[in-house]
Amino acid sequence: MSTKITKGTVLILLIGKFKGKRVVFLKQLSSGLLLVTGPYQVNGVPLTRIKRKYVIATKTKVDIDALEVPTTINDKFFTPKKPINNWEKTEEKFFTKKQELKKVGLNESQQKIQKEVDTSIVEAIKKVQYLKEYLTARFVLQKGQLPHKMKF
Amino acid sequence: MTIKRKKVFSSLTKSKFQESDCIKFFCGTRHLIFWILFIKEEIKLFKEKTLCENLNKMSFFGRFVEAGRIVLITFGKYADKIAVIVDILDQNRVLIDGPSTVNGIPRHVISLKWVSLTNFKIDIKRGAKLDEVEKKFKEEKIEEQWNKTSLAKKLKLKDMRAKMTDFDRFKLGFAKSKRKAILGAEIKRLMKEKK
Repeated sequence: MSTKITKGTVLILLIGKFKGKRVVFLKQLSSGLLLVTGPYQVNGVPLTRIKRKYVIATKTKVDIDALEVPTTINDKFFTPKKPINNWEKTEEKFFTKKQELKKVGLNESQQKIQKEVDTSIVEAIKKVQYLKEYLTARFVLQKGQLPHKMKF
Repeated sequence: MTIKRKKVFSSLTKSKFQESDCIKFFCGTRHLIFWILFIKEEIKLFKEKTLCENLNKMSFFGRFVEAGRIVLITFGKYADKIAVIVDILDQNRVLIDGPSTVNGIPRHVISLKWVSLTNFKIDIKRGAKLDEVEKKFKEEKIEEQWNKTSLAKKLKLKDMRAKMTDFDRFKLGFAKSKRKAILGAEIKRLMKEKK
């Protein structure tokens, strides 16, 4: 029987840059992907999307029933912005430095949304003992541990 | 033939055996040798039986398959739980009961291979009904006695470990590492003092 994923369920990511990280589930997007967040302050995982298949759902739950995820966070939020036509020839490009172009991470507006969502989650995490340490640590398989025999 | 055999054996069990007894039951001289050999075989079996009984009296064996014996079920749906033997079917099978009102284990037939005998026993008759079994089970406080044993504690620990969630596992490992750090620091300090 698979664990039901509801708002606040702690998930273990299995692929990608953040594999092994334990994150908090927020909602399922219209595309079917799951919206999760670290929270960013706790383990460095921002608002991301992931497929249900690449995740282990645990029975641990963070109490965030009161949280309402803003509707602006949808599939469009994650799709890359279309570049301006003829970017190479614009004035803007001429004046932006190479280092700035390579900048990775959340821009200011994204950071704002991230904080908006995360504050209440972090508060809820602090209420449970060791939950913060739990979310900070990565999931690792020890010697002798068999995933098909383990309960999550 | 068979009726005569039973009569002979009953005479052996009842009173002191006399060789003349066998001759009463045989009908012809040509059968004499056969009958004497037959009786000698029976005497041998009889002697063996009493030897067995003597062994029991010396209590080399303390746990018997009998009505009222508490058993630990080792395989199947009700594994790691205790039940009462209510009746014995044959060499390999017994009828057990939880009792069902206490344990949830219904009255059913189980193979002796799936069961191991314990030291505990309650005084019930063969085929006793559920209320009687339940009454005696509660009177003797079998469950309390069983839970005190080290085997019961080990089984409980094993069950707890299997039910641990990811968070529980993390907390356990976290606590262990903290303890190791404290112990390590203390050992280091003591080693330094020794020098």
